[in-house]
Amino acid sequence: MSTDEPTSLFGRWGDIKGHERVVAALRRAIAAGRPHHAYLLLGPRGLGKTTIARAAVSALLCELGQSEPCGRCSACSKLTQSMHTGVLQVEPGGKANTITVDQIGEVQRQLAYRRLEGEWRVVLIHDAGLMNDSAQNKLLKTLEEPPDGTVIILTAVHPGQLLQTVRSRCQKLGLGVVPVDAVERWLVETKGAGPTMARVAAAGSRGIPGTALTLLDPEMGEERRERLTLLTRALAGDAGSIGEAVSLVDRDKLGCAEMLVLVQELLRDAIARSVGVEASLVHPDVSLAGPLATLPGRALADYALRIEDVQEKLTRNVHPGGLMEGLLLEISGA
Amino acid sequence: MEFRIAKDELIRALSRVQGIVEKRSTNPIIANVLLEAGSDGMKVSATDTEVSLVGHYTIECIQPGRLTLGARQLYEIARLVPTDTVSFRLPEGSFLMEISSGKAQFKVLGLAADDYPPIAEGGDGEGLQIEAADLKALVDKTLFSISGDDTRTGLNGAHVEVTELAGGRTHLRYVSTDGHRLSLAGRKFSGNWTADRSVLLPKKGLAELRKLVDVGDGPWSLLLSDTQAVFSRGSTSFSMRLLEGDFPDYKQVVPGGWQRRILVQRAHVSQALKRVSILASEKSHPVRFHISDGTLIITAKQPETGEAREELEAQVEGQDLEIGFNARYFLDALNVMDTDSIAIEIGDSLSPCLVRPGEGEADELFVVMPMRLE
Ligand SMILES: [Zn+2]
Repeated sequence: MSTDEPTSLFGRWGDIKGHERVVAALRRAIAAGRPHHAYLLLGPRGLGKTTIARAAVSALLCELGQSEPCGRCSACSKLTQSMHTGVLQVEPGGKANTITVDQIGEVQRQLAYRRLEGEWRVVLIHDAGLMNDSAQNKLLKTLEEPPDGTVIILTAVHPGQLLQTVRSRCQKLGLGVVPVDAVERWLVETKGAGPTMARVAAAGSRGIPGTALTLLDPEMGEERRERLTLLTRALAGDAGSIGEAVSLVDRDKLGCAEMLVLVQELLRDAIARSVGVEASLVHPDVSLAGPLATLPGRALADYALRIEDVQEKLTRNVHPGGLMEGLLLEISGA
Repeated sequence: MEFRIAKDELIRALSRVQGIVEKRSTNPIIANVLLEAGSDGMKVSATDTEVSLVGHYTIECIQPGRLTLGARQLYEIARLVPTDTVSFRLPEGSFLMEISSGKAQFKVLGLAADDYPPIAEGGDGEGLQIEAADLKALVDKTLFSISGDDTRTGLNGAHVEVTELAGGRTHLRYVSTDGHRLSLAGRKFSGNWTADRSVLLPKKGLAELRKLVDVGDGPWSLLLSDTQAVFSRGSTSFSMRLLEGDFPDYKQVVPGGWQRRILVQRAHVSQALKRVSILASEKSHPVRFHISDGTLIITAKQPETGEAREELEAQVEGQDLEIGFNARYFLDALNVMDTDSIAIEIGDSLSPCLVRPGEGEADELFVVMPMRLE
C-alpha cells in the first residue's frame, strides 16, 4: 500500500477554490496547534464548505504536520480509506433527510472515550442545518463542554437553520462567492474544461464553484435548465407550472432549498434588468415574463428578502410543497 | 506470509472474536480480524474500536507476516474446509490471501495490517494480578450503578483506583455512581499499580469483560496504557478504551456517621421490597421505610391503585424515623451483596443512606439517596 505518490487524499488545502481569508485563518490556527473547538462553515451549496472541512481534518490529523497533508503517513492512509478512528462524520439521512438526536447521541458516546490515535479528534457534521431541534439541543452539551483535543466542524447553508445557542458557540466562517473569472480559470486549469464551456459554466455558477462543476456536467445542466424554465412560467402565473414545481419539491427539503436558490437568482436578475445592469446577470439567457418583467426594483427586492424567511421556515419542519406554493402564488399574483 | 494451522485451532480463534467485530461500521477494517504470524505462533486480534480481544494460537509458521481479513467470511471458511489442516499463503506485496485445504482453494482480499486500529496488549503476569472471583465481584458490585447517560462525563464509567486501607493493606477499588446511588467494592491484589493513577472504565467494556471472567479461572492481570486498560489471562488479552473525564470525589458522598442503624436479614428486606413495590408507582418505585424500636416497616401507597405494608424484625439503634426510597435502587444493591445480614445506616430523612454488609470484613458499601415523599 506504500507508493511514493500520494494517490488520493481525504482533503487538501490546494483543492479549495477561493476563500483565501477563511482558509488562511484556519491554516494558521491549525499550524499553531490552537484550533477553535467548534467551527461553523456557512454558505450556499457548492461553495466549497465540505472541501474546506476535509482539508482541515487532514491537516489536523496528518502526522507530518507540513503545510499540506502528506498523503503518505499512516493517518493520511487511514483517512483516505475511512479507517481513522479520529474522525466522526454525521450526515442527514432517512426519509425526512434530517440529522437525528440518535446520531448526535452516538457521537457523544464516542467522544466519551479517550482518543485512540492522533493528537486531535474531529467531528464533521455535514449539513448541520438539517439537525432537528432536539438533535441541536443535544449537541449543545458537547459544544458547551468540548472534550480536550476535539474539534467540531459544522457546515450549513443558512445560519437561521441553527439555534442561536448552537451558532453562538461556534466560530462562524462565512464563505463569500468566488469571482466569476477565477472560477472560469479554475475550470480550465484544474478541471480540464474547454474555454467556451468554462465561460458559460462560470457565468451561470454565480461564483459558486460546485454549481460551475454541475453546469459542466451536461445532464445536470439540462435538469437545471428545465427547472429554470418551469420556474419562469410559474412566476409568470401559469397554474400548471406552479403545480408541477410544487410536486417536484413536495416532501423534499433539500430539493426545495435548491429551488429557492433558483427563485432568488431569477429575482436578482429581474432587479438587475429593472435598473439596467445587464452585465451581472446570473441567467442572461433566460427571458423573464409576468411580474418579474414588470414590477419595480423595490418590490422585487422585497420578495428577494422574503426568500430568506422562507429558507428559515423550511428548517422548522414546515411542509416544503406548501411553502413553495405560497411563495410562487404570492409573487406571480403581484 | 505463510503458515499452516489446524482447522480446530482456526475455528477456536475465529469463533471467539465474532462477537467483537463490528459489521455495520462505516470503517471497513473493523469488520476484519488482524492475523499476525510469527515463529512463536499466531496472534489474532479483533476490535470495534471500543473493546478488543487478542488471542495467541499455535501454527506452523513458514514465513512471518501480517494482514487483516473479513472476520465473518474467514470463520465460515474455517468451519467448512474439508481437511484437518488449513494453509495460508500471502505472496510478497499482495493483499490476496491464498487459503487452501485439500482440494478447496480460496483467494480472499484483505486490508493492510498497518491500517488496523491500535490495540494495547498486556502480558500474563504483567501489571497487577487479581483472582478471577475477586475481579468478577468488583465488576458485578459496581456495573449496575454506572450512569447510562454518555454525556455525564465522569459518571459514565467505573472509577478504578488503589486504596490503602487501615492496617497498611492495599485494595483495588471499583466505584460507580449515577447521581442517585453509589457502589464501592475493593479486593486484594498483587503486583504493581502505577502509583497515583486512577482510570474510568466504560460500562460496555466492563459488561463484555464480565462475560469472559469465570470464577474458577486463575488470576487475571491488569495493565494500563494511556488510552486502554488491558485484562489478560493465559494467552488471551481483552482491552477496553479508557473514558475521558474525572470521577467526582466520592468520599464526600459517603456519609461519615449515622443517627439510626438497622441490622436486618438481607433476604427479608429484598423480598419485602419486591412485594411492597408492586403497589408503588412504576416510574420511580417510591416506598417508605418506617423505623422504630425493633421493627422496620416498609409501605407503598398510590391513591389510584391501593397500598401495601410489610413488617420486618430488625435490630434498631437510634430514634424513630420515616424515610422514602426508590425500591429499585435498594434492590439493585441488595442483589449484588453476599452476606446474610445487612446494616442500613441513616442520618436524617434527607441525607444519603449507607448499606453495608452486616457481618464480615468485606470492603464494600452502597449509598442510596432518599426520595422526598408527600
Ligand atoms: Zn500525512
